[in-house]
Amino acid sequence: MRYGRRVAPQNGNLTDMYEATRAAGFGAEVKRRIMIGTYVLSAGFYDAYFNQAQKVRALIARDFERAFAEVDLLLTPTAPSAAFGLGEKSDDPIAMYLNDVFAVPASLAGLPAISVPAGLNAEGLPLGLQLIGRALDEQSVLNAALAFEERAGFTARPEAWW
Amino acid sequence: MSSYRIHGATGEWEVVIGLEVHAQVTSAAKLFSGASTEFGAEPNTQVSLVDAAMPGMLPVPNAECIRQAVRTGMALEARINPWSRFDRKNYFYADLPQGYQISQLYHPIVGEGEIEILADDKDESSAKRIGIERIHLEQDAGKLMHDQHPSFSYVDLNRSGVALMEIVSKPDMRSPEEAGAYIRKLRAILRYVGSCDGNMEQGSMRADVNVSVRKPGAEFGTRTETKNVNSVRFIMAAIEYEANRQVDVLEGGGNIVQETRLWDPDKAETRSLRSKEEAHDYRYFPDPDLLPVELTDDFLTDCRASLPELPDAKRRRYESVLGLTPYNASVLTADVTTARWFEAVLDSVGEEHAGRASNWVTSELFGALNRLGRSIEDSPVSPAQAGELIRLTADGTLSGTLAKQVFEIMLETGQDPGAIVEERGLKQTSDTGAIDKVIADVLAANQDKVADYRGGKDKLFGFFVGQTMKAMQGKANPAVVNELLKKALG
Repeated sequence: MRYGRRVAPQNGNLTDMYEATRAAGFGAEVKRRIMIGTYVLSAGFYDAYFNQAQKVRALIARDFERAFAEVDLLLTPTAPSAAFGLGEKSDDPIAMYLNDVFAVPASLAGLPAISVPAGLNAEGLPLGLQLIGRALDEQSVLNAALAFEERAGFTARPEAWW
Repeated sequence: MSSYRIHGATGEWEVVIGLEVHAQVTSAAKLFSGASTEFGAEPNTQVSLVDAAMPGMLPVPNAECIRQAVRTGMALEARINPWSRFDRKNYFYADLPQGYQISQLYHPIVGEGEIEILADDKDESSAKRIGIERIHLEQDAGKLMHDQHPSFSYVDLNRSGVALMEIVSKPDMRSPEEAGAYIRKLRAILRYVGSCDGNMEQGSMRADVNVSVRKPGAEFGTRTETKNVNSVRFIMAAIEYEANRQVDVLEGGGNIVQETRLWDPDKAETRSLRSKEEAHDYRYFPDPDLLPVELTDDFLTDCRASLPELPDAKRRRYESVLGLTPYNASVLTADVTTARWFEAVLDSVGEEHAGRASNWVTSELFGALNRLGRSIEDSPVSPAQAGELIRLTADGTLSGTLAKQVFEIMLETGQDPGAIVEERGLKQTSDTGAIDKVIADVLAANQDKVADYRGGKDKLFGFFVGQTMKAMQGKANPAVVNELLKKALG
């Protein structure tokens, strides 16, 4: 309870304060992920989910390894869509969940990745491209990103909206 | 086999006990940080950024703590796991800044071992082997202080992150006496190894006590766990109370619920703290900040080579090589400080006098320390001085009585025994001329008794010895007195 906002209900005890604070500060998607994380680590489900997930993660890492036997870098979109408005998709948990679907695999496989601004969509919103490299090969990722940046000619700047 | 039974209304009940002992590892720094572990410092003066769980801080394992856990495992004849790993045990409490304790659930550093105990230390037939399930390393939490402010509690993080070994026994004990013997033996071994100071008053060692009851030979019953009991006496009392309570509940038609209980030393009873339904789910998972611990063969060889002679081996050697009585051997090896003191005496007087030295330490020295309320660490007499005193007895300079007098003076003045003997003329005399002269006086003064003795009253011999010794102020050699008296009395 050292950082961020603290909520103390009237006449509440210490536990009430903990619970109110934990509930107040996070949005729905964050809470959902905390709940899922708590669930898969709970005593009865550890083997069914966490252990299984570790095996799947090993398979994902192996898949990348096979790809890097043939290529030096992988190029993907950073996100499935351009940025959407605040609260616009709050009723669609799957769309919310898929938002980082391109960014997660590199993290799961323990690989260096970078997102570089690449252009604008029809509405003028920025789009990013992601470069993923071999484990511990940050240098190649940075070299490629620099080359990309120098040639993409991305000059758009957001208008001041505030 | 223990014959300890609870006598219930429906017959006899057997008690099944397992202990989880938390032993603070002797190390200068904490398990994952460089902060000091010294006891008794001002609150929050021994807290690194890691111990306070500041964002971005990373734990670094302390090799000394790993070494101590491995040495302890070896002393308990346990399997050492060359590959182990740290897990996070998650719970939210004010004394735990990280929000999780780093511990070892899935892959502990030490596996199965065992300890031999004597439930009754005067009875070799009460020997029993108690299984060790595992030992793992984990962090201690901070300490909450509730008595510093009327409406706030304070947190002292000095203890946060200090290394603990959790030593888990199998449910192999069957009586409070066996549990007491197990704790004492475990404490002795830890102190010999030097991996824990065993100081229960300062909280360096505390136990969670698991108790269940069953009809002899039946399946295990449901157990309760009484947390954080911090003396051998309390552990034994908590077991006795808890076993009787469970028998009462079962015989009253109730069921034992699996729960965590608390020992209240003032009321000498256990109380429910939380039931299984309220039990925390700790959501263990491997700590991603720490690599697995992999032990090399060289490291393991060094650990084994650094182990001292352990209490059981020492006790057997004292009996078979030094020829001590089983009782003396057991008393002198029970604690490492006593054993070291005794061995320092032997260094001074020589092993050929081990029997005499063992008797002197266990009776004269222990008696005096007991009387003075001192421990052997701050004995007023040094092992070298004790050795000199024993040598003076062995070579006939001092009789038993004189040695006691000299020892009393040593306790008061701290002087060396040789100096005391010289200064005060306490040397025993074997001068037959002087003794003969005194005997003649004694016999002359007690002619009636001499006649009685010669008439067959053999028991009067002791009287003549006493009179002679008294006249010589206790300095006569008793063997010489006996011999000369026999001759004089015909």
